[in-house]
Amino acid sequence: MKRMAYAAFVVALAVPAWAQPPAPADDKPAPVAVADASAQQIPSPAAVPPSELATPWKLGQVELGYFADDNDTGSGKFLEYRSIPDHGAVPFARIAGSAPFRYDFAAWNAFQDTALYRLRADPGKVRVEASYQRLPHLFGTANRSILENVGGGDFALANAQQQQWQRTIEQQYAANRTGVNFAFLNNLVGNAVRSVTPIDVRLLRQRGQLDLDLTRDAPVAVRLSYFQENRQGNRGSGTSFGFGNVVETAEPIDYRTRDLGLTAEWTHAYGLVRGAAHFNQFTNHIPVQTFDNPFRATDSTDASAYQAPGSASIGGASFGRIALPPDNKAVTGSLGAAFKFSKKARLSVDASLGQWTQNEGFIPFTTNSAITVPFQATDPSRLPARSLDGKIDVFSFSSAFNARPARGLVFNARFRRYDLDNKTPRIEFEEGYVRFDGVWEDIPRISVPYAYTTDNAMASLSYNLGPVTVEGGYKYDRWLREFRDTGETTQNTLYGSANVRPASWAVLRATFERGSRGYDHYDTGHSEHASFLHSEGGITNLESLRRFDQAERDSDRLISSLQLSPGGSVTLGLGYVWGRDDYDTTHGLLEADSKAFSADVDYTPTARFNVFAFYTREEFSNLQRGRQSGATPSVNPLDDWTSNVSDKADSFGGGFNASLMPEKLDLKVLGNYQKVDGNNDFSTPDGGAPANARRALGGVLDIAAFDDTRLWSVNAELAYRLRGGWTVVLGSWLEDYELADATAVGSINYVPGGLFLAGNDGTYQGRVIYTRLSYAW
Amino acid sequence: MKGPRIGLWTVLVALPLATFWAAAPQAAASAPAVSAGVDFDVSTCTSCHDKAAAGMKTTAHAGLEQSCASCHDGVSAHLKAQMEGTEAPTPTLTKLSADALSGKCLTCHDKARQANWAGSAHDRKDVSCTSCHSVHDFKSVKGQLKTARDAETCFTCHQQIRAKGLRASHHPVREGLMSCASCHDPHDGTRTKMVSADYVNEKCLTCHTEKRGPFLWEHAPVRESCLNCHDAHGSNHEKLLVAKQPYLCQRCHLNTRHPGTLYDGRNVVLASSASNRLIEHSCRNCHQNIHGGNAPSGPYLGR
Repeated sequence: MKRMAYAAFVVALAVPAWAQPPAPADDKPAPVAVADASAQQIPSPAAVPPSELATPWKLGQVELGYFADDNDTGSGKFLEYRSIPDHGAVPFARIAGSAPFRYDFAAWNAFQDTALYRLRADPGKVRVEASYQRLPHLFGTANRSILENVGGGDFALANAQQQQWQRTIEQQYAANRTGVNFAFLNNLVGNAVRSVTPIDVRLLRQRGQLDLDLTRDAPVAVRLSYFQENRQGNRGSGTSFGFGNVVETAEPIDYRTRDLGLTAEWTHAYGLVRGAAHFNQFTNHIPVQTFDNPFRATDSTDASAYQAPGSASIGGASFGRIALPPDNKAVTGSLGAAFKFSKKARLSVDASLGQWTQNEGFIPFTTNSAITVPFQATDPSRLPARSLDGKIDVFSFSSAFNARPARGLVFNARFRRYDLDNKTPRIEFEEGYVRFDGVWEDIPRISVPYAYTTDNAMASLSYNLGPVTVEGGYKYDRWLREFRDTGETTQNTLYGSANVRPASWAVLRATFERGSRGYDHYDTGHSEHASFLHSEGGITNLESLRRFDQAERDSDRLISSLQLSPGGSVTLGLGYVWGRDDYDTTHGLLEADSKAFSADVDYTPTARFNVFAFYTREEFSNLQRGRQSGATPSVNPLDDWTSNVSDKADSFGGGFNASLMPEKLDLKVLGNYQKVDGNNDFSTPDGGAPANARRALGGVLDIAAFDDTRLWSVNAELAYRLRGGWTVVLGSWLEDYELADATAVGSINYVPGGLFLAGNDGTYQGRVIYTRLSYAW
Repeated sequence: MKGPRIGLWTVLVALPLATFWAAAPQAAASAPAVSAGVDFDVSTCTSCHDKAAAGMKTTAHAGLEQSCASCHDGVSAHLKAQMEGTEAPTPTLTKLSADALSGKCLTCHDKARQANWAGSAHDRKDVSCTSCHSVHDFKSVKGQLKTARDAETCFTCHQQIRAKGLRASHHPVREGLMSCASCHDPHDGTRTKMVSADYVNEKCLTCHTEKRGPFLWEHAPVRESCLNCHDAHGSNHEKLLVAKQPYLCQRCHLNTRHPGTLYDGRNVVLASSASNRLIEHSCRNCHQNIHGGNAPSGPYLGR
């Protein structure tokens, strides 16, 4: 109903626009499309002959290159988002012109995994834009898994190996169960891990886009668009048989996303009316993954699914199964209008309706054929539903009003609503579910279709006093939530800002805002019980905890910048940003502070020389408090612990562009450096569970190397222009990365309770040298 | 019931208001402000401003009916003064206020999302079209920006975002495979943080469609905002997280047993008590489907 009201609002507002008499055609110049552009790499065309600004033109460029690279550690981080050919390449090519019609085809990194091809053509009635892009993501090299990807989402260990390890474990368990420990298991799998062929874990996105402007230069612009992205590869995933037996695998990725869109926009002197419709579809060609349990060849139940394989249990399933992201669809329609009124007033209103659906078939409760109570749990017919029939309705409404009621006075107001109405049916698992394919949990559960509505409103008034513009404003944010700890949170924020222009070459901008968020109530039990069919039991989460996305909070922000460009050859930018969030809670996130100072300078004394540099210092700190509990929530403050993370990041950069010989020889040098130094300082009172657990180890230990990284890179390039449009470039690029984070450094394949891929994505020094030969016409 | 009533009242109030405003005479400021007619030869302009003309030759601006006078006021007077050796205002745009400058461009470009420029954060901060774009001397292949890549333009003011982009976990902006405009529309003042979607999650889901769902088991803060857990501009925690696991998860989950347990320097990779709850995927070693899962046995976002 309310959506219909909003839709009516939009349509109603569109009526006056249609009612307007058409403006005389010669009121404004012919519409101009967003301009085409020429490549930076293309030398500027020769001076345009007089009176021939719009004369036919054509240009082109082909660049051939040869690259050689070296990566001292083989870390995948060096090539995370890169593709460096170790042979000849076509780094850039372009051909563009204006006759017989406007066209522009460009290719970057042709035939590589970072290739981008783009075509724009304007043959007359239809304007065409098409692109194809490849985006690689290398997560890590030298990953080791004893499970082999045998296709179709199945990861297997040879049956004989699996049976042998199970026998060995059973023998040890029978002889002395305490002997089933990490050392024993590490010895069991060690050789196998060492003997596997390492693999890269990587993903490649291939994105294609086609846009057709069907009614070019007409009052109503209609555009048809099609987008498709194929994603193929894998990524590390913590496929697990329980907390004592994580078996990480390279989860297969074979996704396809398609989007078909139709947009229309009617522009008029008095405003515009626009509409759009999109159909979007996600398909996962590998919806299910299975993976063998290295330590079990036959199914058996496991008392808790927490401890196997170990002295307490050696049970579990012979293989596990995971439901990968399900196919889904989204349909969206939108309608909007903008109106220009007198006194430079403008109102824009947009609304959209969408529906997201998902109905992929469910996998059974478990793979474990030994779980027969309360029923044969591998039987998919015992599921309360065979698929989700999930449906989410999404509604968005946005309006903005801007007016200048008096000279120098500007009024702005904005209102947005985003409503996510989750209409997915709640599915009851009356008899429970299976934990990690090991044990039936007689805990009746029910799915929870979370839904919410968020409103954002703001109003501001600014006044121009000449060199100073002052502005004051108010922002209001409201969240309405279902099934969560709070039903409603609201935040009120006041802000003031000033733009000061003491001279035409200087501008100072500063904004300070203070906000406060509150809630209607906070009920931990309401949230926790929502997913349990019978909520008569107690809650397990700490009742004094207020989750940071809902907690009462005071927020302060200062954002300031100074930009100076005295004399035109020098520009200087300074910035300072500060923020503080104080959460009103005794546990969870208590404080989050940040500040950053930046300086930027650019100096161009002559057309032949330009030098630039920047520096940013950032400091972040986050304080949170937890409490360690056993089987029931602790009420003992001695069980508290705090984690105080403080990160400091220094970033430098700079470089220069020099024309060593005018129009002949250019030198470009660019460098970046960043060092992040973080600490995670812990504290806990004596006598509590966290302290007691560490007494024998020497007490609680801070993580001094937390978030620590260092990155620097230097790129130098010398370009020599030969006659007739030929250019030769010699370049070198050096990048050095050090990962010193103690939570990531030294990844090893088998640690207690975890058999990991332990890929190499850490420290490296990478070097690239290249030459490019370019011909432009 | 509150929603429909508010909506209907809004319609009842807004309709006559809009009609009244629309019927009001159009102010001169909203009409295109260009010189009437062309009474000069563009070759006269290019005889002095050949570099400016050369820079725009390949763009649609070169074909404007009124040529230079499409944007520059007083061209004829300027030419006349030059010929006669007298004084006349230079038709440069550089001395215009940011608002007036943008007004020039919006004469033609007041459509699509540029129609939402007025009142945007950029507009209110005295940023003009020419703060980022150049008609005569642009460096980018697309969008006529003053720098080769849009990120360099944005970093002129958003310096801290540049620093975040140098972090270990980042979107491939610094590698040139994505740009700021992949997620933001700097012209659209109606969207929060100028994100080019109805809501931030919808923007993220354009590339991460597998996380759209709906799912059998949902994770409420994920459904509400990706930014609860991720910093899209970069971080030193895997997957662009705002904090490391398990500490990020422990901001909301201090349940009995393992969620509330302290994991400290004793539990890192090379420590004697290395814990699979702190290293590698940390909590996600077992709670793989943190964005939502479809497995009947996954109420804890496992499998």
